[in-house]
Amino acid sequence: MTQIGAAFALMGYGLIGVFSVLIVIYLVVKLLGKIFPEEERK
Amino acid sequence: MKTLLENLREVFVGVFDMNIQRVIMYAIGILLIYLAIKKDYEPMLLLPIGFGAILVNLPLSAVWEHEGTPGVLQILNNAGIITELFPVLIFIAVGAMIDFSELLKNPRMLLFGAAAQFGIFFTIVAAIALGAFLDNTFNLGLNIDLKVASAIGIIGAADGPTSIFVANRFAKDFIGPISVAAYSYMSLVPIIQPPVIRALTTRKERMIRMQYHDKKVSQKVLIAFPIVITVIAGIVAPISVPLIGLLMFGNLIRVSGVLERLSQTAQNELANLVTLLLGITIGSTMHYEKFLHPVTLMILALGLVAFIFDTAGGVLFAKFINLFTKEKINPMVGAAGISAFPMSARVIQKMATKEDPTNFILMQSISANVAGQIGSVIAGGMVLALVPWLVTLIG
Repeated sequence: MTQIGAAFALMGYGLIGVFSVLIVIYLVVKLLGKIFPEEERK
Repeated sequence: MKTLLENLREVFVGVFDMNIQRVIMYAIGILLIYLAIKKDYEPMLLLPIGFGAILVNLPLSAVWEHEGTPGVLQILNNAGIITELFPVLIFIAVGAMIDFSELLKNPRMLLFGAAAQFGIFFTIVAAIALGAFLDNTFNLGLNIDLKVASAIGIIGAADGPTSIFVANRFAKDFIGPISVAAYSYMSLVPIIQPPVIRALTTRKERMIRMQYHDKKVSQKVLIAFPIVITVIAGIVAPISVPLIGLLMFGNLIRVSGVLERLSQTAQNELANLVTLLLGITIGSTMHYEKFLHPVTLMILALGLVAFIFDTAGGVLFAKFINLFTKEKINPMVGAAGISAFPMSARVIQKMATKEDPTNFILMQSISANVAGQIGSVIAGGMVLALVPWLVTLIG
């Protein structure tokens, strides 16, 4: 693999990785919200 | 018998050790101090960095090393930068300062924290392409490889400690210019982001209103969040744990409700003390032999590219999401997905108010901005994990 090829691979894997982790966190936050419901501010 | 000149050289060793490169570094140090004091550009960092740059370029550089004995700044560098202690301690302080509740009210904003890291990866590709072009055209011998390119690209994390952490792993010689670029462009967010956002959005898009539901997030969720994030990041990207783990530790102290003193200490004393030492130590890595290098100019130019493409990534992702959702997102909010907190969120609100004085999107921008804090650390972890593996594949 060339340096530029590796850089493009890093871009692909890196972005997929960051999105995947944040999507998992999103789902977990949604789940936490279901377990411990938010309260409407009075 | 020593000649008169030799005696003079011994007595006035500082004068004889002077050269034009040192003078250039004093000018750079003074410029950083000027920007800190006069322009208020990240003064907590740029002022110590500027003074550190002057100190280390004084003749003999005794603050760095004298007659084989490490000087005070080299000791600080070895203890705080090489070991990665200072950036990690800063993360405890940052974690204690961040309120994640806005993000927890509106978790879909997390996606912008990912999209706005695009500039990091784009810049890594750009650094390698530009380095190869300059080497082939002007025969500069820059030899920008994936590791150095990654250390340059991480400026796009818009997050000083992450930039220092990654640069320390992959490009120790360029830690000075990378830190200066990271902190300088973070302070220039109000100048960098608006033209990019305007170029990519229509006035109608900038006037999109977003609904805000003011809800109280359960204390249990606030406490569970830092623990869960640490575990997820630790499983998916273990190498990012020193960063995300300590960030979340600081946040747990904040939200626990029983460690108010520690939380205040992390936010004030710890943050101030480590920032003070971090700045002057980073400055001390700016010896002219390392700093006055064509790569420094490349770093400064590509750092700006990283911030521009971060902003573009966030805005374009918001526009993409709008293709599929009924409740439209103001695409400017996407640009707040960079980690420069809270400056980016303020910039977005200011732009929204300029288009429509009654449009209020600050809370959504803050959500995206906080997501950027998490996204940038995760992106740093991805770079740290992927680069060593990709390097083994390069023929």
